[in-house]
Amino acid sequence: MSKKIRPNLGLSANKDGNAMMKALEDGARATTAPLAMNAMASKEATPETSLGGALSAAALKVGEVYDMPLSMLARSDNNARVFYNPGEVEEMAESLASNGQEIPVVGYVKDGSVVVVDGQKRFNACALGKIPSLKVLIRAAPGSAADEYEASRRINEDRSTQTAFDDAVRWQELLERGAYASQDDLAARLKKSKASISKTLGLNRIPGPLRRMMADHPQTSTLAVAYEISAIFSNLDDSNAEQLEAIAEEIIKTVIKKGLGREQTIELVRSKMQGPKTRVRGDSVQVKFGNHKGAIKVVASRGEFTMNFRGLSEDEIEDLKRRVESVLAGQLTM
Amino acid sequence: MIIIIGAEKGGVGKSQVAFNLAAYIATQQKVSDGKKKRPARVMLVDTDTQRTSSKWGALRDANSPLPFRVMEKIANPAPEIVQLAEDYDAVVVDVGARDYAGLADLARIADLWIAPTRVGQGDLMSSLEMATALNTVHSKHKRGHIPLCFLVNAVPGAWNSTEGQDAIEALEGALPTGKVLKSTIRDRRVWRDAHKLGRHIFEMPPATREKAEDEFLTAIAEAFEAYPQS
Repeated sequence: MSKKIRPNLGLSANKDGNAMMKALEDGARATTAPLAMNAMASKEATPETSLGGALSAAALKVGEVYDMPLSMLARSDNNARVFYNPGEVEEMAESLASNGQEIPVVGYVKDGSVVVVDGQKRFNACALGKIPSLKVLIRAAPGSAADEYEASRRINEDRSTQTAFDDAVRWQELLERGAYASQDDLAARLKKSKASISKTLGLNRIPGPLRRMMADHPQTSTLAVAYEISAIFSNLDDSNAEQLEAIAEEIIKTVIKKGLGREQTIELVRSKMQGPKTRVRGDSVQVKFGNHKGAIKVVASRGEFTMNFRGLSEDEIEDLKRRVESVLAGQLTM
Repeated sequence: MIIIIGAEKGGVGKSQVAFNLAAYIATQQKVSDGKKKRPARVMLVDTDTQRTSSKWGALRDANSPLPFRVMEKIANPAPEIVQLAEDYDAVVVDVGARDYAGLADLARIADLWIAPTRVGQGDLMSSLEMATALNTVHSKHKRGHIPLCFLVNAVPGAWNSTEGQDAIEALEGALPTGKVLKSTIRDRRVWRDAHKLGRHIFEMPPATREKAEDEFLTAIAEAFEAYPQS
């Protein structure tokens, strides 16, 4: 392999923002600044004028809730969540527009703006929608970026969406209690495919302790991977239960450790279920042709016979070929 | 810096290039900030109604955040992109099918425009049409010329396939403006596997990503060299 390519793209801080703005304004199309731009331009915001001169970032008190214009709010660089599902944000925007904001977001004062540490999704939703302000609970500034990040991570973990295992267990219960008439009923009500319902329920084949182990880890709690692991238990009976559990446990640990995806998990399950392979070994004999060493390899079980030389000159190859051919020809006529 | 990944036609790998370029810049490029160097701050803006870029990251583990931010802006994105470029070292924009006026708006602000295309006749013709449209708005660009280059992507993988080279030659012969990158990206399974897991390819196992990574970075380097950012 050649040397690793790591191009340096020569990025530098943007210095010609005005030129770009101008290029844009020169365009034929009228461009109106969307609301989200105001949120981004927090540095230029003038808090004193934002709410009729009533609100200045410096005057905000910790523990109080304020209704603040988006122009005074800034995004946190230490939020645990980076990616927001656009669909969720849109739903949030709709909900905020129709129901209003029930719970304030949380932020702290920094450089004349308020950095939102909890409520990033509501903040994003506001920028999408037509809501000019957010209720913000002011708290003390965090001691460090790490503190802020860890706090945000804890909050996000509390909110993590359920895994395929939560679904599997709860759905099974609901079906047994008759809350849903059938799997088809469940599929229709949840707007999921019947196949995905049946696959998810298949996870219940996995014994309890292993299920907990898998649900705890994101790599094994996705339906795609978990379903492949559950396939191990499709032929479960009393005689092989212990053995299958041991195999499954080993597979789960490997999937977590190596971060395997679905395809790789399928491959791993297949190889583990087959057990160790016995490798076919051939017998090899060293032979010489002129000064060249070679080998004759015989794999009797496969009916294979191979002769191998390296580094022969063209003449020697021709010579060897002629000899082998004449030997074979002699043998065939016998 | 504003990097537009845009083509009129769907399925040519815009989101693939945009998502992975954003990841490369965010994880492997440093910028000087005073005396220190820090990792580049990157924003990926998805303006495509298909939202492939936005959804890409949704497939990943909840516990491994992307190294860059993603936002969606479908209607009239140019002003916001300019604003984002103030705060981010690189704004990578995934541009989906849209009208020529929309494309022209973006062309004015691009520091680099990479237009992926595949080797099919329809793909190449669509590239020509886009180049023809952009050719009329050079004067609106801040440097007087749109930094446009075409990247032949998803070239069929057979070792003896000449389709990539054929496509390059066809484009070079016909394009009214823009450069055609000599480096192509082959159709490799690792791209699809990465997408399935919501990962960028630099997160894939080294043995499986090696060739794809080399092809991708060679092409990106060529694009940046074609239009140096001074």
